Amino acid sequence: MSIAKLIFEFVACMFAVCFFSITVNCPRRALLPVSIASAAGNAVCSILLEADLGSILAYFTGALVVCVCAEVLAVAIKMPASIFVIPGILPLVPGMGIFRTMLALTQSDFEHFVSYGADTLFAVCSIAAAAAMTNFIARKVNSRLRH
Amino acid sequence: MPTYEKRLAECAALAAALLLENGGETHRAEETASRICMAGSSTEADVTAFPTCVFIAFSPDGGEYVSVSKRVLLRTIDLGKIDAVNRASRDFTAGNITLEMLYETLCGISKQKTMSALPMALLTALSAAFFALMFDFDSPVRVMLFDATVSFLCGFVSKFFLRSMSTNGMYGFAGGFVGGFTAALAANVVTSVWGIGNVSVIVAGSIIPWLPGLALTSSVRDSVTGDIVSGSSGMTEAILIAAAIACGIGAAFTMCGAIGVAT
Repeated sequence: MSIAKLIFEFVACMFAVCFFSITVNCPRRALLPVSIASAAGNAVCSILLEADLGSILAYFTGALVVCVCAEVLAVAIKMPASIFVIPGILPLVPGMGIFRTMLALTQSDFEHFVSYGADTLFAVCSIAAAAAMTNFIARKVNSRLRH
Repeated sequence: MPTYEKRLAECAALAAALLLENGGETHRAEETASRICMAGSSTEADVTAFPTCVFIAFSPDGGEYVSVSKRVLLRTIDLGKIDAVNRASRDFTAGNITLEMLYETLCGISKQKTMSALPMALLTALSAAFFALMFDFDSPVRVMLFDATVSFLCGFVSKFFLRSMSTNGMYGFAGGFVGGFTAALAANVVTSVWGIGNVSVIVAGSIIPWLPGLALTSSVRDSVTGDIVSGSSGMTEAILIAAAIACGIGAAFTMCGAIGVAT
């Protein structure tokens, strides 16, 4: 993966997430951190996808980067982690996968429908698993620190 | 003037309902309501939250139980309101504000107006355009700009249409269908008329603002943390929204195929 592509995707992703975050009324001081965290997660996912390490690992690691950043930012900026997680994971949700799956279905191409559909489903589950795991660990750590 | 206990119940229910309405997780709503009850002199508080309602029972100073339930009708995403409720509840539990001040703050948050249709549609459109650019690095600059412009228009039309209709309860499903349909229809028509552009990039960029990322991750998180009911209802919502997007795309492709503009 070329550096130019990585930088281009990073910047485009930052702007896309920033504009989306404004539509969901994200607090102003969270806009820049959430955009950077989201673009970083997306970049990690792209690099791993390009390295052909499997989509499950790529989406899981990308989402893990976003969610760990979200938990750290939540403590640093004193805001709920969901403020960073909701817009942050947006670029990772496989829109292209949903599109390809549906396209295959409308063309009665059931072989591709099943393969694209399974890939999309596993990608989505990996993102959700990373989010759930990070949240679970953060809550455990927080409750330990409180007591 | 209501009694202290009644006001406390109102505040806890309002805070939990505001969190559930605006995209907060179920466990966050339960924890917030519970913390408010405990800070307001209760010895025991039992809070059960679902995506559509919240039940609270607490015992002020070990006396008789006071209970309240609140229906959650709206479901949207407003991160500003989640932050504001979180801050108000923290201030109350830390003793920085009184119960009446908390009630006024929460009422103020619930009355806050959301962004109007035009700026909301413009921002969604910009977001869709940048997502299209993100997918399009390998294409020539001319195609890249074309795809971004079409995604911008798709994002604008679908968001403006839905905001103007104010389809509160149906927002996710209607948004998914209209977003998917507009994107796939426009992508097919413009690429076959002008002969440039990538259908997949335009559609993928335009549908991203409608994808049920929140519903999906929240539902898995809820299930993992033991809120099976909220988790499964959230999963159903996410699947239905994804199906609505897919149906919108599928309907547009079938239509374009029938009239001969499919690429």
